[in-house]
Amino acid sequence: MKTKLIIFPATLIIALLFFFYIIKPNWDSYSANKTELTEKEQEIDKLRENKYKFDEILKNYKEIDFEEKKIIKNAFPVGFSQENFLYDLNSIVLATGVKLKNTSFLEVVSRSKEEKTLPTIKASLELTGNYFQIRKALYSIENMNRLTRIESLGMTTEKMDGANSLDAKIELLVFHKENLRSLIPSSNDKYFASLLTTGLNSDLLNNYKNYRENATSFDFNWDGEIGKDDLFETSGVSVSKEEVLFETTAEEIELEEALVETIAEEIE
Amino acid sequence: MKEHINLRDKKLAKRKSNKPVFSIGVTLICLVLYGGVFLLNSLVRSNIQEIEVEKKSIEKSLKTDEMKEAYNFGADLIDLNSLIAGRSLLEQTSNIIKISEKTLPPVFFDDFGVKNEKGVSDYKIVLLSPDYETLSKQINYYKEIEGIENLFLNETTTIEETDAKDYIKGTVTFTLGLDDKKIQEESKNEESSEDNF
Repeated sequence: MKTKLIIFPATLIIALLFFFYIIKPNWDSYSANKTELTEKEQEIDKLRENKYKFDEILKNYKEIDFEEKKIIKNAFPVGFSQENFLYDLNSIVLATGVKLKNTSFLEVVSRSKEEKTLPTIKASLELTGNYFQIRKALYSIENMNRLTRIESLGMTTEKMDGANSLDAKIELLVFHKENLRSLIPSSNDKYFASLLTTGLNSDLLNNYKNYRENATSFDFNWDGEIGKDDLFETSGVSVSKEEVLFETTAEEIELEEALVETIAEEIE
Repeated sequence: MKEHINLRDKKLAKRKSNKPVFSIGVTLICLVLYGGVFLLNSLVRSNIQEIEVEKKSIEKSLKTDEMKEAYNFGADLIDLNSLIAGRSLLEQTSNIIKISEKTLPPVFFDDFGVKNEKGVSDYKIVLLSPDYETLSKQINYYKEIEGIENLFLNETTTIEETDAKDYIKGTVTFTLGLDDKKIQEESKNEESSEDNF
């Protein structure tokens, strides 16, 4: 009889315990899993979309001409590849006839906003040669296949065995990438985010091609009546040029007189 | 009285007889609830696992060599375009040509220096001119150079040469940079890259 009386409350207690210690945690776990599933579903939807976009990017990439791919690859080599840089530099030296007196390389630690993500080497070169050789070397350095930027240039005259020679110091930034980047499917990755928005933008490729192609149509000559080809040349003024040169209007004369006065005042 | 008591006993007996049923009912409800929750949870977990498998498969497909190559190509294009924005490949060579075009033949350089920062080149040139008239003409001609700014003659000195004509040595500074349109494009690019990244 007593046992029968205990069964009901005992069952209730066991049921409550079962509910609170087994069903409730399972329900909580289910709720958490359900939330996780919703998040995962959103995540996978986004990933599927990204995959679709990157498949498109891959398709577009495969359609790009080999030569065009090479232009970009050459502009940004993996690693500084000092040996290739020296090889290119030597080719310039041989082609222009300048003498490479000195080179030094320095890793640029932190630069401006636009360059901070890119590893950059500052190369300092010291060249000697005549003006035309130096100018041609400068042209060849700026026109290198890999992306460089002249940061400073200095030219001074240097007398060597009676002949006029120039001593040129060039500091240039050489850009490269550390290694092949791994594709990180995350919006925090700037390239991933940008590529998702714009895809493999053909405008960017054309921009760079145009940037390079302008160099091939570069002309050292000009049609103007005045001008001097060798800026360090101390002699040789053609009479015809001089005559044209000093043909001035009344207005110009006034302006020039004013300038002379200003200079004279400054000297005083 | 006794009858009444008996009646109560009957109710009690009825109640007592219902208790095992309730107990079984409660137990069954608990088990059904547990089973239901367990099944739902298993279903959700299996869905999560399926998604994880698909996620891994997509991530794997994004990490293939050819996808990496395409991604690097795209990333290089982005970097290259940010570096060349508003600039020209032969910046310094073309600036030297611009200066050459406007240099008077009797004038020659003794020293030439340029520092480039953010597409703007700061020049410091030491000129040698046969006289002040030519020097002033030269400055006037330099003003005609496209994109020239802050042209300034810092100092002049007369160089006396014993066996030849004297020279006037003048130090000229100026900046040659991007034209307004290019500067605007560059700042626009910088702003948009900030927004994107």
